[in-house]
Amino acid sequence: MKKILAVITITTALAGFIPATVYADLECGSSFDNYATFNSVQSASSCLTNNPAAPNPILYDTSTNTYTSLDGKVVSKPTGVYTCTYTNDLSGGTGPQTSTVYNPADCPSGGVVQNQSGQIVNQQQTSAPAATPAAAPAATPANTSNGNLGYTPLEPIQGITSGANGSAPDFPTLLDNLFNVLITIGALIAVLSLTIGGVQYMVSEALPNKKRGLDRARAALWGMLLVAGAWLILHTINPQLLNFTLNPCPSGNCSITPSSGNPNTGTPANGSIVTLSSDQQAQTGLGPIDSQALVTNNGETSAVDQIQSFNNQCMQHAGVMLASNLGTAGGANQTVWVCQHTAGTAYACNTPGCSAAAI
Amino acid sequence: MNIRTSYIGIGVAGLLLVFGFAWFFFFRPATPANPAPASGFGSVVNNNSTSVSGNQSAGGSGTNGIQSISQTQPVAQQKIVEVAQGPVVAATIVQTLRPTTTLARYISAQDGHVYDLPLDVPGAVPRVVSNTTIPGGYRALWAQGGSAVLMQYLEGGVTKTVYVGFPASSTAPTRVQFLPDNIIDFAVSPDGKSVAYLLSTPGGSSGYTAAANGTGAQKLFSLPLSQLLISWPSPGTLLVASKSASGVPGIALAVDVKSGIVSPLVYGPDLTAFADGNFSHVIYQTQPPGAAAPLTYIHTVRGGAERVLSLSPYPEQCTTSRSSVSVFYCATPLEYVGSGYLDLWHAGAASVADMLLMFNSASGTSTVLAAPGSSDGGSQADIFQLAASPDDHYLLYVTKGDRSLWGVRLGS
Repeated sequence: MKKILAVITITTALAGFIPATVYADLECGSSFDNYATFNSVQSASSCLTNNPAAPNPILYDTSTNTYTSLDGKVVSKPTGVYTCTYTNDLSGGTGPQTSTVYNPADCPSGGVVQNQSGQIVNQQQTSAPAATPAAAPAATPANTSNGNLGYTPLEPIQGITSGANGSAPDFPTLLDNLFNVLITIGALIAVLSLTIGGVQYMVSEALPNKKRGLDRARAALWGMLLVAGAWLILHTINPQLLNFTLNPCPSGNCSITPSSGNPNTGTPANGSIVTLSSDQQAQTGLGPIDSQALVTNNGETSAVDQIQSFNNQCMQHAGVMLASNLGTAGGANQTVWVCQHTAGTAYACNTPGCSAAAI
Repeated sequence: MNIRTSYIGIGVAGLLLVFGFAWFFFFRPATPANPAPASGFGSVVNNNSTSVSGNQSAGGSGTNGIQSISQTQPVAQQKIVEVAQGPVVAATIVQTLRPTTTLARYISAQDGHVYDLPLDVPGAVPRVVSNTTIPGGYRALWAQGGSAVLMQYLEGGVTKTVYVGFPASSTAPTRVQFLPDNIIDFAVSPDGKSVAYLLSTPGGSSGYTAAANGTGAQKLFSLPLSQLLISWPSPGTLLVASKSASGVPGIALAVDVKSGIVSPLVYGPDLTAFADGNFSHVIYQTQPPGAAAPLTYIHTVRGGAERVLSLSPYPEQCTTSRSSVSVFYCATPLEYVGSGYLDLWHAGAASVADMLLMFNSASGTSTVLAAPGSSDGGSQADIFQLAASPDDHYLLYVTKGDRSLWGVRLGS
């Protein structure tokens, strides 16, 4: 009898604990203030419901030791409520964005973190021109062009200090243009020297002078050969060797890492794949999309193969490829192609009451 | 002549040489590029570097207009080649069996004359099919397998619609017959033997069907809507849809050709629609609330299933395949254009470069066929009026702006 009672007691006790252990993975803090006193919840939605009593709920998953904020973003362990002001577009140049973060480290690179009193807590390290928040004094970003070090010429020379189409001056462009100009000047001097040598050979009567003219002409020919050869050899090996660049990611693989990383490390190259942060994904307004996205330059057709390839990959994953534009606040000249995995909102008229008269 | 004088002479000659070279390299006016070699697609136009000018991009997509792109392949090997400089009203592809020839048949907008040009026949020159002069045509649809055309033009504020039947032989006359004035929109049946058109009424609009030359007209339906477009995708069903306008609710309706019964299909803001060859799917575009750009859906007529279509093509820029009922071809912008673009596009106020795609309405798959201005050939273009050949080996398109006619080799 004692054994039966013991079994019943233990079973009852266990039964009382089962509900607590089933949902022990998820805990919810009703706001950042009491994040330390998390309570078990049955589902994420029951925690992350925006209600006046819990304006900033935090979901804590004990199995993965991750905290998730109201907008579904994984955040570091909350330390407070901060305002993060940062630039959030792929072209890296337009207006600042503001979001709420629960840890200064969650503010993207280049962003300025302010606490609720408006005091600047921390300015994140920047690797790209960052937006300047109105409340914070910001350093003037370096003049850059396509990720290269820029400069302001004292006296601009069309076609040398800037690109042929009037693009912004940068040091690699200057070197490129100087290379072309120096090759031209070298070729001109060689031709001139060849002419002088030839004339000297013809008009001189003394043998030493004739030999000097011949030597000059021979040297000029060697010079021409060297000038032409320098370009030809480099061009034969790889034409890219003739393009100077200081861009750290000339191939366009400037990864834009998710939330904890840098939103901008330069303008992505035409046809390159980038990784969108969760904020950038939300900014497309297209619902659930892959973080991987294709970037193409507007007005160019050279990346059509990449569009086809990206579309094939998207279809293989039962998605649809759609165009979006991040940072539409003027001046953006790149399109972001994303892969969406939901059917979207349909507008089919399938209900009996749906008719022309209803419109 | 002493050595000093000779050196001075050499110096002057050298300086002149240097200045000459400097002028040659730095100040010489740019010479125009050499014309492209003969295309082999027909010999009307070989210049494939024509740029389309006067275009603007829109929809927050920056300020890139359409630019011409240099070619990297010989024209004869490229997918896209210019067929006629235009302006062209409309074009179709006609295939003859004896001899087996594929002809691009097009109407010149200048005089309404109709020409044939064999495709992929080196040295071919266009042949006049009809020399009936109808200047100012702005829209045309082909009937009776390309042997007749229905064309609209404006005459003193009245929209005229004329049927022109081409002579079967050099001695036969050209048949010309006028349809009612002020037709809002018209469509030709898939077999090319009938025409459906919309006329405005005080309470909306009415739809009529008739033989292709306009005879035997019968009223089929009436609707309380006036801004409508009509198409005839499958033999038994008409598609009637409201004209697309940004922010305005639209509707697409199916109309039974025999009974005139009207059935609503889809509705939504900014709606524009197109149906496949057996009317099993309706491809429509609408602006979902909160979305930055409109989305294009495939709506299954039986069952009502919905599916988002990749790359959001505009139904206005689509045409059905003539060999497969579930295949259709579309042009779609190569960049993000945003909401309201279609209004600007219709008004001619916005234009971006397009690429050509093939879609399958049954599977929802999409394939990029070519992009004018890329290594495929041609120059960047805003495309409209696509037409496929009966065997799907060729596509024709007319560019907005200069209305030039281009051909695309799709292969077998």
